[in-house]
Amino acid sequence: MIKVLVPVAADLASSIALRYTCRLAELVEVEIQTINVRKPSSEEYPVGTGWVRHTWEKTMLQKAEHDVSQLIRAERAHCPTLGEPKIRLGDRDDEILKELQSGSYNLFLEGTIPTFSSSYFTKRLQSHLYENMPCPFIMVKNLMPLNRALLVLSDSVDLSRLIRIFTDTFKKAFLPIDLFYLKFQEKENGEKEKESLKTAMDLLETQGWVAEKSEVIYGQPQELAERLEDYGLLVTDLGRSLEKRSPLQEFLVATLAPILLF
Amino acid sequence: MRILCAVDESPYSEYAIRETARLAMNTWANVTILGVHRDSALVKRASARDDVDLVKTLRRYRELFLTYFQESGSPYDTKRCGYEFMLLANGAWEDLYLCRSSMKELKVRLRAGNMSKAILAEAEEDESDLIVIGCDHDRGCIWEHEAALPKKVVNGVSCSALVVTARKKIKNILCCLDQQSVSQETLEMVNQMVTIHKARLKIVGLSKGKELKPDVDKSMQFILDYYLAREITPSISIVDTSELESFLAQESEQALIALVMGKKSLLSKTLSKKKVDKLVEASRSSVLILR
Repeated sequence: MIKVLVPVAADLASSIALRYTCRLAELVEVEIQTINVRKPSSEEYPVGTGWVRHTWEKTMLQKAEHDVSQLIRAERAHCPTLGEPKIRLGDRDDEILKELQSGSYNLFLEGTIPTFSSSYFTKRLQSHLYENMPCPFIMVKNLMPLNRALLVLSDSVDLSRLIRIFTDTFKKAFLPIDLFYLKFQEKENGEKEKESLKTAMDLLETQGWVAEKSEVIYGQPQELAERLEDYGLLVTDLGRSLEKRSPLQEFLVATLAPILLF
Repeated sequence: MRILCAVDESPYSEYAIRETARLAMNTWANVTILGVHRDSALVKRASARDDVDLVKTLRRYRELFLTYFQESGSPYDTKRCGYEFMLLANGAWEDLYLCRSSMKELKVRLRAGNMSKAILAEAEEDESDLIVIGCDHDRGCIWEHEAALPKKVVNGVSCSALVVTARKKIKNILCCLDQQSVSQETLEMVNQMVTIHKARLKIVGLSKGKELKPDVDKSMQFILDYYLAREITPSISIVDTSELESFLAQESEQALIALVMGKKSLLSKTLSKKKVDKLVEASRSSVLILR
C-alpha cells in the first residue's frame, strides 16, 4: 500500500490534486492522508499566552477545518476512502515537511497549476520543502486521465535509480507504461541511447514491468513537451542540482502533464 | 442561435462559409449569409442583378453551405411536402397533403453601400448572436475592397465575433475567461469550437501575481467541472495580466484564441480596442471574441 500525503486548501489546485490522487487509487492501493496548514496573518496572532493562546489556536483550527471540509466532502463522492484531514497552524511548507518526516509516507502529491512565467515552477522545486523531500513526489499541473505513464530517460537521468524508485512506488499498479529517451537536439545515430533503453527495459522486466513503447525521440524541450502532453504521468529523475537550467528542466517546466520526481 | 456570415468573393470568405456550416451542423443555428456590393445603383437594377459576380458568389456559397447537410438531413430544407394523417374536429383522421417550411432559416442577403456599416446594420437588425468573417491573414487580416473591415466589425458589433483563417489546422482552443461572469452561452460556444476542430481546450485564468484571487479560483473550479462533465479534459494555466499580450502572441501560432470581452470582463479592461486589433491582425490562427 502506498501512503500518500496531499496538502489541501479551498482552492483549484487542491481540487485537482485530490481528484488525481483518487484516480491513482483506482490503479494501486493507496492510503490517502490530506493535510491543511493555516498560516495566521499578523493581525490574527493573539496578544495573550496560556489558555488565551490555546483558545485562539482551537478557533483557528476549527476555521481551517471548516474551510477544507467542503472540498473533502465533495471529493468523497468519487473517492470514498478519503479520511479526515490533519489540520495544522504555522508555515505551510514547514508543517508539511514535519508531517512527511514523521509519517513514513511513500509519496507526496501537490497541485501546481502551471504559470506562463516558468520561474514559479523552478522556485517551487528549489523551496525548502522540495529540497528536503524524504520521498518521491508528484506535481500535478493538470487533471489528466491516468491511463498511461511515461518513464523519461535523458542524458542527466540516473537510469537505475529511476527504475528502482518507480517500481518500488508503483509495485502492483495496473498502469501501462512507455519508455522514451529524450534527446534535446537534432536526430542522430542514437546508439548509446538505444543501449540505455535496452538496459532500462531489462531492469523493468526483472520487476515485472513491460514498456509497450520504447524509443529515442528528438526535439526541443517545448516541442517535446507538447508532443508528450497526453500522458497521465511523466516519471523522471531531475537530480539534486537546479542551479543550472537544463533542457530536461525546460521540458518539465513546459509540460502540462503531472510529473513524478525524486 | 443566429449566425451572420459576412462574405465577399475572396477565398477567405469561402472558408468562413465552411466554418459557419460546421458550426451550424452542431448547433442548428439560423444562418444569414450577407454580401455587400459597393454599387447601389447596380444592385437596384433587377435586370442586371443576376449578372453581378457577388450575387453569383452568394448563391454558390448557399449551395456550398447546404452540402454539409446532405447526409444527415437538412434543417434548412425549404419545403417538405407529403401526406400526413391529421385529426379533424369530428374525430376522424384525414390523409392530407401538407407542405412544411424549414425548421431553421438560411437566408442569403445582399446589401449595397459602405461594407462595414452594412454588415453592422445587418447584425443589429437580425439580432445576430455571432458574426463569422474571414480575412486575408497574409496581409494583416484585411478585406480585399475595405482593408480595415474585419477590425471594424469585431470592434463594432455587440455580439460575439469569429474571425477565421484557413492558415493552419487548429490544435488548441485557448480560452481566456473572465471568471467573474461566465455565461452558459459562452461556455457552450467554446465547447462547440472544441468539438468542431477536435482540438484540445486550454483554459487560462488571469491573475495579478502568481496566485488567483479567491473568486477567480472558484469560477475556474466551476468551469473545470463544467467541461469534465461533458467529457472534455481541459488543461489549466495562470497568466499574470502584465504578461497577457506576450502570452497571446506566443499562443496564437497554433491555437484558436477565444477571449471573453463582456462589459464587466477583466479582459475588456486589460486589452484595449487597439490591442484586440493587433491580436486579430497578428494572430496566425482564428480569433473568437465572446460577448
